[in-house]
Amino acid sequence: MNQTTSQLKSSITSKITLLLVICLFSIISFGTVFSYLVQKSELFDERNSHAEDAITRLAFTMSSPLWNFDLEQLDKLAQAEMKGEGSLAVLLWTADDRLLLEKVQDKQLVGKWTSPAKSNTIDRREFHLVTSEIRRGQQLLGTLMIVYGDNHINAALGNLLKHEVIKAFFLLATTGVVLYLGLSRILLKRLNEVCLTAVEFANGKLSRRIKVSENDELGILSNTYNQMADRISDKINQLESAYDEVKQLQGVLDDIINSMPSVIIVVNQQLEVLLCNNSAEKLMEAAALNARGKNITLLLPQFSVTLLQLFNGLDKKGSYQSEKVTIRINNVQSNYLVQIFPMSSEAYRQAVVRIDDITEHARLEEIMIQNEKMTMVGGLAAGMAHEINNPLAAMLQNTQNIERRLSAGLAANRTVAEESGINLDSVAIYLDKRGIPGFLTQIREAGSRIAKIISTMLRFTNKTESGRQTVELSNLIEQIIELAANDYEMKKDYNFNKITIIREFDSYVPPVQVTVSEIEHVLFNILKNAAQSMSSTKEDRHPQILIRIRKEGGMSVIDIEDNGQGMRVDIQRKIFEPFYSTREVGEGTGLGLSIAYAIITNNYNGKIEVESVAGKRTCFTISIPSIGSNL
Amino acid sequence: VSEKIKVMLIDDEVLILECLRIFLEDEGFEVFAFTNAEDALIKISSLTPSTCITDMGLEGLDGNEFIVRAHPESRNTRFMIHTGAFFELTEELRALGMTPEDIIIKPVMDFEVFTDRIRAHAAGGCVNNVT
Repeated sequence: MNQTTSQLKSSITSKITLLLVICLFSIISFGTVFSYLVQKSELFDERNSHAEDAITRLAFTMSSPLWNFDLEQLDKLAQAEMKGEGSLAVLLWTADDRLLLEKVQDKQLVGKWTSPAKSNTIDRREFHLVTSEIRRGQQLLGTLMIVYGDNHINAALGNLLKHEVIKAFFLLATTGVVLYLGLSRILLKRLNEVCLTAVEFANGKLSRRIKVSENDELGILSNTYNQMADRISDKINQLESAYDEVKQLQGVLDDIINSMPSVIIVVNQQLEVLLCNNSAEKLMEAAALNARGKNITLLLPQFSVTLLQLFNGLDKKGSYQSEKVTIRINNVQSNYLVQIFPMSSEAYRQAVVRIDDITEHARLEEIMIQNEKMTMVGGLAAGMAHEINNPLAAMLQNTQNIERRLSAGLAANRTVAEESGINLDSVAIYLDKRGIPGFLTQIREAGSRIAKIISTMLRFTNKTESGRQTVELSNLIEQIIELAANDYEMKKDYNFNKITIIREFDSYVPPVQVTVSEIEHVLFNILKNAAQSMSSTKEDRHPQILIRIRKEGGMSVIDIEDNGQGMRVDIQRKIFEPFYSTREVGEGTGLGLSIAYAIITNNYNGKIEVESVAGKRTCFTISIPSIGSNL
Repeated sequence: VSEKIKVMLIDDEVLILECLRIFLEDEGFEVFAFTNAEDALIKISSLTPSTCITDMGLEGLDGNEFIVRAHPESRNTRFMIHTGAFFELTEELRALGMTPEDIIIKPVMDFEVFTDRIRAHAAGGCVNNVT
C-alpha cells in the first residue's frame, strides 16, 4: 500500500509541477521571442539611423578633399569610417561614375560593388547599403556608398538570446523546485494522509481517522470523510455484531437440536431433508451434508411406511401426527415414537420429524408398573400378615398344646387321666390306631406353610436400613454358593453339587451396603431357579453356572448365567410378578423372584434384569449402587 | 418344692394369650396373663416376674412404651417380644440391653423357644442382657 501511495504522490507532484513548468516555460518562451524580436528591430533601426548619420557626415567631410582631389585625405577618412561598428566597405565614385576609392573589410567583397546607379551583383539582403551624393554647392562631385553588415547585430542578438535562455532556465528550475516543495508541504502531505487513512480504513482498521488541522477544502473533505468513516464503521460494527449474533444463534440452535437424544429432521413438502441433528445422522447412517436434499423415506427405509402414513394424515388434517412403531433389527426389538410437527409458517410448508427410541422408556414404564404392583403386594402382605398370624399362631400353638396334653410325658396329664379313670397309654394306642397324631402333624405342616408364605411376603415391606453392612460381593457369593450346596432341597431335587460353577470376578469391584440376609434371599432364589432350570433339561449338556462380578458406572454388578432351558419372552416378563411360578402348585410360592425384585429395586435402588434364550441359557443381572457412588 | 418361675404375658389376642398360658403352665411356670399393658404396668412391680413376654401392637399403651416404663419398675425382669409383624428393636429398647434374640415372630412353631430362654434367664438370675 505504501508503494501505491508513494506512486500516487510522485505522480500527482510531477503532474502538477510539470503542468506549471510547461505553463511557465510557454510564458517565458513567448516573452523571450517577443523581446528578441523587439530588440532585433530596435538594433536594426538604430544601425540604420546611425548609417544615415554616418554617410551624411562623411559626405560632408569628403566634399572638400574631393574638390581638391586629395586622395590621401579621402583614404584616411574612409579608413576612419571603416573602424565604425558594422561597416564592411566604403566606396566612392566620381561624378562620372568612376570608382575612385574602395575600402573593404573582407577581400571577398572586393570588386563586388557597383555604383548605386547600377544594379549590384551581390544579394543586397545580406547587407545594408547607404549612399549619398557629395556636392560642392550645386555641383555633383561624386557618389559615396557605405556597406554595413548584420554580423554584429546578430552577435548581440545571440548574446541576448543566450542570457534570456539562461535566465529562463534558472527561473523555471527555481519555480519547479519551489512548487514541488510547496505543493508537497501544503497539499500533498495532507492528501497523502487522506489517502493513507482511506487505504488503512479499507484494510479493516476501522478506528483510523484523518487528523484535521486546517479548515480549508481539504479540512472539510477530511471532516466529511471522517463522518462517513464513523457511519461506515458503525454500520460495520452493527453488521458484525448482528453476524456474531446470528452465528451464536446458529450455534445455539445446533447445540439444542444436537443435545437432544431425539432424532430431529426438517423436511420440505417433497419430503426432502433440509436439516437434521446428530441423532438423525446416526439413525440414517449418513452425514447431514449427504442427507440434505434426499428423500427422507429413502434415508429411513425402516420408517418409510409410517412416515408416508403420517405425512398423508398431515396433508388431510394439517395438524400434529404421531405413531408408535416397533422395529426389529437383528432380532433386537426396538420401539420408536414417530412424530410430525407441521411448521406454522404457511409459506414454507415444512415439517419437523421427530423420532424417539422409546424402548427404554417402555421398559421403565413396565418397571414402574411392576414396582407399583410390588408396593401393593407389600402393603397387602403387611396387613394380611398381621391379621393371619394371630389366628394361625393360635391354631398352631393349640395343636402343640393338644399333642402335649395327650402325651404321657407331662405329670399333669397323668393326674387328670387317673381322676378321669382312663389309662394314657391305651389312649395313645387308640389315637395311633385312628391316625390322630398324623392329622395333628398335617395341621401343623399346613400351618407352617402358611406361616412361611406370610413371612416371605413380609420381606416386601422391609425397607429399614439398619442391619446393613459393607460387603464384598465376592465374599457374599462364596457364602451363598456354600449355603446352596448345603441346602437339602437343592441337593436332593436339583443335584446342585453336580453343577460346575465358573467365577469371573473382576479384580476390583467396589463393595456394597446391604443386609446380608436380603441379598442371600435374592441370590439363593436365582441359584435355585438356575438349578431347577438345568435339572429339567433333557439334553446331555453339562450343567454350568457362570457368576460374573463387575463394575458398571456407579454400580456393582452380578451376572448369574446358567445353560439351562431358558425362558420364552412372555415368561421373562412375568417372572418377577408375585405368585407367578412355573412350578407345580405347592412346590414354589411364586414369591422368590418377586421379593428379590422388591429387595433390589425398592430397598437398594438397584436393578434386576433377566435375559434369556429359550432352550439355551438364562442370565440374571443384579446391579447394586456401589459404596461411594451418589446414586 | 422350689418356687415356680414367674412369667408375665401380655397379648390383646385372647386366643394366643390362652394357648401360651396353658403351654407355660403345663411347663410348670407361674403365669400372669394380661390383655392390656396398662394393667400389667400396674402389677409388674409387685409381681416381679422373671420374664415378661409382650405383644407389640396393643391398644392403648403399646409394647415398646410398656417395656420402657416397666423396666425401672422391675429391674430384674427379662423382656421378650412376641409379635405378629416384623419388628426391629428401637434405640430405647437396645439401650435397655435387649437383643434380636428377644424378639420372637408369630406364629411360633414350637413353644420350646420360650421355655429355653425363660429357664436360662431364671438360672442366670438377674440381668436382662444375657445373650
